[in-house]
Amino acid sequence: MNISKFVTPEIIFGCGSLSQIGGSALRLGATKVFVVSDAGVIKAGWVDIAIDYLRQAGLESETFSALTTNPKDNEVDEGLAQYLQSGCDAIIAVGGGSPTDVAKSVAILATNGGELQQYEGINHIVRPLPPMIMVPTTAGAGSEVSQFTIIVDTARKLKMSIISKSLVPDIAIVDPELLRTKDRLLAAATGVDALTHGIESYVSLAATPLTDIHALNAMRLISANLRRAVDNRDDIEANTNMAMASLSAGIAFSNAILGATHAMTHQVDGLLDHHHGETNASILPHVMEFNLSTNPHKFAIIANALGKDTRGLDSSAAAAQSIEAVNQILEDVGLAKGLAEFGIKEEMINSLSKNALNDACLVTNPREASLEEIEAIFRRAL
Amino acid sequence: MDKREKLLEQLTGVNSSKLNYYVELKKTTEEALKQNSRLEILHQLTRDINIDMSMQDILDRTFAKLPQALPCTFMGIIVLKDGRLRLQAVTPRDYCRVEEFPDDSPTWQVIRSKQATIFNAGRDSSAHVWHNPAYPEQLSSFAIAPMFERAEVIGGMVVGRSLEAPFSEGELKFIHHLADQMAISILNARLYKQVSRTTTQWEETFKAVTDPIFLVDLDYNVLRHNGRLTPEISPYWQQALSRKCFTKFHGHDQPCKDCPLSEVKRTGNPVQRKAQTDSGRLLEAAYYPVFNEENTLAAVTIILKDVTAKTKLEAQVVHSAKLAALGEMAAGVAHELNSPMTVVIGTSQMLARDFAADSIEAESLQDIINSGLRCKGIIKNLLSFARQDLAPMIPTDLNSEVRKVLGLIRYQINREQIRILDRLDPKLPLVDANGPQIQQVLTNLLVNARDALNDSGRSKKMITVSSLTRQIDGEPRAVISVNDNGTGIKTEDLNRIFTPFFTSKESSKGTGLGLSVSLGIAESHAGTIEVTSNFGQGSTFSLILPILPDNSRPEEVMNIV
Ligand SMILES: [Fe+2]
Repeated sequence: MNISKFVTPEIIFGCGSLSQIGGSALRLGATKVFVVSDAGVIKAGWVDIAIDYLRQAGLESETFSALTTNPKDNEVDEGLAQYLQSGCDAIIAVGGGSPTDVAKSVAILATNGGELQQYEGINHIVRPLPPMIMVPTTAGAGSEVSQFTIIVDTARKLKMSIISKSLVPDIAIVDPELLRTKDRLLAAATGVDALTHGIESYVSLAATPLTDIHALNAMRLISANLRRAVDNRDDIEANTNMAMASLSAGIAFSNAILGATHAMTHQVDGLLDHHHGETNASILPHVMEFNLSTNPHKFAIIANALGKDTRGLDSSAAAAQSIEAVNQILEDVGLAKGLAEFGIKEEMINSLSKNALNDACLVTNPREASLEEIEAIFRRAL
Repeated sequence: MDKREKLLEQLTGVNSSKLNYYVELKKTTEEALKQNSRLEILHQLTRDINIDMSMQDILDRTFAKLPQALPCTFMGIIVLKDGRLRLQAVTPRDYCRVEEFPDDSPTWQVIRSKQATIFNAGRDSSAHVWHNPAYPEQLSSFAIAPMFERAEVIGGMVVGRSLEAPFSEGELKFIHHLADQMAISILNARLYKQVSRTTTQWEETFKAVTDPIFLVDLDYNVLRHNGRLTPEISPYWQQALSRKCFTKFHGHDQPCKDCPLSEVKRTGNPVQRKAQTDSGRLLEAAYYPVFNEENTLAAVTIILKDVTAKTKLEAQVVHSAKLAALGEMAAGVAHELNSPMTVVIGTSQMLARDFAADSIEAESLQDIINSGLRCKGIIKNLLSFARQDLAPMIPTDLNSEVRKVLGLIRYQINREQIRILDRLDPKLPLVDANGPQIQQVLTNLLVNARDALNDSGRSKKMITVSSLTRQIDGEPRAVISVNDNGTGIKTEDLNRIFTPFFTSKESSKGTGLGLSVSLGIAESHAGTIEVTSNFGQGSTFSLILPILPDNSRPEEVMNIV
């Protein structure tokens, strides 16, 4: 493809950048702000701090936090009802991928109306959304910069991907200090999610030089900092680098899209309430293996970015090093687990695979995959 | 492009952008502006549509306004009446025709569902429509909105367009409003027509009446009238500067004395009056109270009726009845007198034979015989007078009729120290006449002359009866005139003396019928009665009759007197 496009929100980065939230909201024309978050983030105190900054800017706010990991459509409906009733005119998410996706989904329905299912797929949003500011607390999902929102359709038991340029938030405020409060497992899972974003977007059919820079930057930072960040939750340097890694990966995958790993994890996430990063960890190496032959050169560069020295190796061996590197990281952060550990069974594979075939992320996977091939990957990932 | 590539392009989205609020705002503003102009059109419609416009006019007017708010190619109104649909009006007027709306036609669907609906134009939906090829553009979509009278569907409004974009839901809403507005306008126009038709009918009813009818309020103002006026009222009516009835009817500047209106106001009952105009016509005026919703008197309806002719007729009837009775009596008396008179004459003649012709007895007897014969002549005249109605119109010598009358009443008149002169033209042509009736007229004229003389208190009382031929309007006429040197008649009374029941005499003396009946007789002979009079000096009444074309004259009839 000769013509490409690259979209990012305004990005405010740095320790203490949360203090910018009030001014940012004001500049977007907000008068009352709808803050979407979750219980963990509220408990960590970040929401109170954010609301305080908003108050200092003269802005009222209302908080919505009735949501779970892998947020559900009915949770969005509740959020929407509260939003419409509150009289708010801007939406801020403070949290990980779940509050961010709920915030985006509430925004869709607030101005477009109808049911979330109407907007599933690409470019079905017809009206502009309210001003959105995203403040990530997890360094992983990348949703604060992406044009995606992923919500579980409770009736069909699968994740719906809604994709639109209008879902790119207006401002992303990335404050590494916020990462401090997440626990070890979450730090690992979100880190692996960011790693998956980096790798998948890098080998994506839609990758461009602009996205490649960000993808590689993310991989390098993750390989150098994830272990440190998991081991020491207060390592501010590691946290800062992981925040930047997550941001870069988010920018990369928002523009280059993802691949088979995400097409498959979305289905598992729809079925079980497990962290998306953990599922990624189980599937990613097997998808890499499946894709390896399509672009060994890029996989070799991934291996390099993840710290492997591939000098003297032939191209397929060099490429294979990337899988090695990923497995090492997973091992080190304690996420080298099979899907079976999360309760996925052989008999689920067929339907999971069928749904994965329909996932938008599969479109950019470098190698076309048949139902049987996806089933085979699932089996290996068990 | 294969599906995957297409998806890929959509995902990376060179062709898609974050939706922009400026664009959205512009769209919203545009829609609001459009909505404004639609509202304006609805308002204009209410203002513009006159109550007396036809449905076609209303539609044309609306269509002309539409392009700004609702681009469309044609517009029509379909009316539901007696379970059938009819294309009542369409703009442009020759755009299409529909003979019959099939049961499954879009219009019927809308009428049944009572919902404004958008249809895709096509063969299926409009096979029943003849579409004028002068408008070659194909319709793309059309919308039909039901029109209501209260909850009842009375028809539908159809709007069609050939633009590529079909009607939107927003436009449909506007079409619905437009149809509502249209229904109101149509209903208004219809109600107005009904009301005005009723009013017109009622007005025509009054105008058809030839008698003058007025509606006058309690302040004497003439509110309405039916355009009929009597010749007496006419000049005042035209000159009147106010609406007051006394001004318009009589030229007065204040209410008439004894105005019947006050009686109606007082009693609340209708009032009838008879009045005689200066020109001698008899008017019957009826005043009917008009009550308003609160049952209080609001106005008075006045109806004037010219009863001159009718009264004349009545007079003749009365007179005829009188004459008939008199005739019966006279005939009886005449018969009774005839026999003894025959005996008197016969016996006298027989006696006379016994005396010498030159004896004093014979002379006396001859006097008796002559007097008896004269009595018989009088009786004969009386009989013929009494039977005047039975007498035929025959060529008649007016002179002889004069003599017969004078023979009957000369004695009576002479008795009152009145001299009668007769100046009869022996060459007077014959006229076609009923002799006894002519006698009646003459008798009447003579009696009137006598009365006028008696009232005058003059010492030399004189009646001159003349007959002559006079040229009137180039035609020779036979004229019998009776002149007296009595009281004469006041000028203002001259016109009224022929009116039935008009009389200047005390009621004991006359019936007031004489002159009117005489005039009636003259007119039945295609003639007239003329009067000239100087008050205080005397009057001349002339009976003027057309003469027979055959100007021959029989031999002078023996004077039977
Ligand atoms: Fe992810």
